[in-house]
Amino acid sequence: MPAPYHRNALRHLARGALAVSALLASAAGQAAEELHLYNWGDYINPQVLSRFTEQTGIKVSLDTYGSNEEMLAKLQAGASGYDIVFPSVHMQDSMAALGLLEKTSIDRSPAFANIDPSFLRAKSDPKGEYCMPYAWGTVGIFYNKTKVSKPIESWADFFAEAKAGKKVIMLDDMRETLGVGLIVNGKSVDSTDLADIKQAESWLLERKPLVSAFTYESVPMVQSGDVAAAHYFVGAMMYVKQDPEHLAYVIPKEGATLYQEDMCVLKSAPNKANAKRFMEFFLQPEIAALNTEQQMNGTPNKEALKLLPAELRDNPEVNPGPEVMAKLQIFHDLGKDLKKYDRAWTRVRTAN
Amino acid sequence: MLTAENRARWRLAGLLSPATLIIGLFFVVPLAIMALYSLLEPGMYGGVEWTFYPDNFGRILGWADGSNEEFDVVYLQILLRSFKLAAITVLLTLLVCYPAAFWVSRQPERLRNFCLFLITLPFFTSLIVRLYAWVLILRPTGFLNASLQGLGLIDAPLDLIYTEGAVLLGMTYIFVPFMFLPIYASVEKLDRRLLEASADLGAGRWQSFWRVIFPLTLPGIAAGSIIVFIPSLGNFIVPSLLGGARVLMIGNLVEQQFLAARNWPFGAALAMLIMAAVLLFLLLYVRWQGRAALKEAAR
Amino acid sequence: MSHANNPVVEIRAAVKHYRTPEGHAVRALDGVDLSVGANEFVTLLGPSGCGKTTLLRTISGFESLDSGELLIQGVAMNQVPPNRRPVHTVFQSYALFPHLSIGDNVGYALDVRGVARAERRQRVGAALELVGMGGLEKRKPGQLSGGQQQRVALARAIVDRPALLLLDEPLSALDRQLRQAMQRELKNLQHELGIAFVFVTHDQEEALTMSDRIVVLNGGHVQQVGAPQDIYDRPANAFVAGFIGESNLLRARVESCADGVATLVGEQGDPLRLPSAGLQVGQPLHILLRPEQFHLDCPGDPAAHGALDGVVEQTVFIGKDFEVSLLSATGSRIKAVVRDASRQALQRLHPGSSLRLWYALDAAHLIAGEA
Repeated sequence: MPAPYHRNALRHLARGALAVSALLASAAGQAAEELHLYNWGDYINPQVLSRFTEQTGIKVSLDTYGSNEEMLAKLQAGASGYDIVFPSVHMQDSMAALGLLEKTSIDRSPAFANIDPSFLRAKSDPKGEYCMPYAWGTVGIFYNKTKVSKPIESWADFFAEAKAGKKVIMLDDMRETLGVGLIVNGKSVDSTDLADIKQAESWLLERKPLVSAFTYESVPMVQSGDVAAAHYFVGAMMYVKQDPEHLAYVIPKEGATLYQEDMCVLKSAPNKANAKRFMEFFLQPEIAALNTEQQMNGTPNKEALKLLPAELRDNPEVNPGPEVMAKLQIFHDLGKDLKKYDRAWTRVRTAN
Repeated sequence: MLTAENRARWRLAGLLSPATLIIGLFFVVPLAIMALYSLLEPGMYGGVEWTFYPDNFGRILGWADGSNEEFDVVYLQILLRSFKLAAITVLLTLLVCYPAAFWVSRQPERLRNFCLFLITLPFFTSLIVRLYAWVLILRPTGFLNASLQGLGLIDAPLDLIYTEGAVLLGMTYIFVPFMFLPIYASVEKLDRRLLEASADLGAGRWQSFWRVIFPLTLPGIAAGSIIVFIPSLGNFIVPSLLGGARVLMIGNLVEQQFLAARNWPFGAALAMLIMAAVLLFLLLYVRWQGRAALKEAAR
Repeated sequence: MSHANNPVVEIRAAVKHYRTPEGHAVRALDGVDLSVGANEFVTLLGPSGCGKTTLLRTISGFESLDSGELLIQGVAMNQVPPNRRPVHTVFQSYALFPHLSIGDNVGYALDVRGVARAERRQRVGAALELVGMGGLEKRKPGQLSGGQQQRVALARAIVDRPALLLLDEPLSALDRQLRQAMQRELKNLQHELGIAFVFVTHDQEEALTMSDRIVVLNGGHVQQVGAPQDIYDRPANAFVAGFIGESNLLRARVESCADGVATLVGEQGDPLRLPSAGLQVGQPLHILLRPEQFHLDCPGDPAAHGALDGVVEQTVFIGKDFEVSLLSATGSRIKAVVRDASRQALQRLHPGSSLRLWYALDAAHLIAGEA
């Protein structure tokens, strides 16, 4: 769940404009070759696309989605014409089970050696024969330093500020927000044990009166100081970079969730060869670094990591050390047990 | 052999067929799919399993025994809450629009047309953008709080955003045009001479209002109320953006089923229930209108 | 007529200004005095824009006076809203409430005053009976013809016996036959009820047929008040003479007076003879001669009659009578209605023939005025 802002309407407009400009840029190339990407909103540096078109003459179009489920639902409903999608790891497993993904043998490309093998997380694709790890990040706390009594380090600090009358926001996201309840209670975010889920539910219910809103629209509210702190993606580092005096992003001490998206080719892709070319293009360290620098998130490309500016590469909130890494959890698909989360989430959201 | 009557019937069917086809394609078929899905078992990754599965409704209405699904009263609570919000929205928009319609209808023609233009103006911009503007107005450092503080009327910013008041404000704001236009149509049709006649026969202002103005504008009020009620029932953007999504509306719940929960049949069942409720309202309205029309026709 | 003693309505020096959409100030009422007696049928007559409707709406309370006094049954009404005045109006458009049954329409005035249902039903029935619409209580206005709606509007306005009934051109939307029938019925009804009626119309025939008194209005001024016969025979001024009935209005100046007969010279030089009583040599006058006052042959003593010579321009047979248009020797155009269908007469009326029209000296009506 990587995209900051991904439900923001204003950004939606900007995204449309981006797609148009990508098309315009590629119109300069002479080949009629095409490539259609279906990605999260704001989840790729547009320069990457224009460079690809420059080098290959392949026209790139970009459509965006707001959640894994939205993407899958659209594909299941018959959306066709897309070549590459960017599912989270657990969604990649679901899509593999549904037979939606094409085997690309990208692992045979020489440059695949750039990829840190620890990012081959998908159970359905342990070697990277299908998809290529694209980017990763954490979900933590984005806050305004001037509005809190002391720097926030944990979920306990977060709710302490809320208790002191500060406004705080959590994500309108079933698994992320219940996930916080599981993490602080030392449970797995993939737990299917009803007791664990119930515990997370009550923990959240207790704190619900302290939460001003459940929304993805928290960036401008934190920037302006209208809200002291918000449950948010590491993508918030983009805004921290612009205004480091007032803003900060932190991975809470209790632990956090980690997300990772992989770049996959669809079985129904009309331009499979071009799709593979794009994957290989993206394996180049300078291209991956170009993307990561703009996105302010993590890259699975070891060589690209070396090319990043030090303040990004060595930032513990973006690229944490092994100790913190050990406390990060990634979501897996829960199959039918997802229903338990749905029920708990509905109850949390219904309570007054 | 075709009788004349049969031929006429066939010709009529022929004439109607494009309309029938369009209604069939864009209305009946999707509805049928939804009705069907609401009775099937949810698939693992969205979609459906082709087995009969009445527990989607049982989960809401009470006959799920826990073997497949569990009954939870929370869904009825959400439905009720959405109904309440829709009803309050109808009431508030009515309170705003009814006097406004009278005021506008009394203005000179140019001003009147300008007012109508202003009321339809919001339709030209995206709903989300307009609601986002309200976020900017209502937030603690927003326009309203800054102005009030600038004027020295308040010391600390008021809690405006992420409150029930903000939700009602937003709902009223977006549905005012839907209420205004039908009411305005009936107010403008109102014959002023009838009000003179009423006063002439000894009725005071309130008597004239309840005996003449209100019954004669009632069709506009009813039409406006329905046009506002139905979309407010499914609205979740306002509670999300201005209310901070702290409470779930039936619209959120349906969205959640189709996306995050990947439970299409349950989402379909919820949607069917909303639709049944709305249809019930419409039926009542149509019957009421029909009775009035029948009376009118019985000359 | 009792209006002098105990008037139902009294209006003194009423003034009302309007501003037109273009911004011009218009005097709709310019110092109007009027008094209506109990059980009197008074008609306000005049061309459109004369102020008659404004005057009516002043009485009902929908217009307020800029200055002047309005009393109804001796009580000053200037500040009293329409719903507290003891008057009802029959509107030109009828203004029946479309959503209420006929019974509820008629019972409206009783209902708003809180009259109990049983009594209301009985009085509504009686009022409908009175206008010949008994038994139609359950219908809706939309189910009635124009004439029926008219009657219902009437019943609605009289159901609680107001002191005064105002009627704003109530018959103008009806066809001619129905209108004439309604005129008679209204007159009868007024007698039966004993309510004073103030009736507004621009139709002089309607005014002459129904009224006890006619108030002729023009330009916000009362031109003349009088019984129909008075107004017709002795119009106070040239406007009234011209507005009421067909008339030949000749301007003339008194040239000489001798033996009780004055000789006048018309504007165009026609010599005219009139009784000299009260006339002075040199005085300018209007002479009014109604078309039906002319004869083809001198009906008696020639000394008591005057004559006009001219050439027949046109003759139209209008049923029983001939309408003759005569161009006098000096160029005045005279309209006459004559009844003489003999063969000889027909020849005399042939266009182009010379013709002499006779009139009784005392039939001519003189209106003082500048020549």
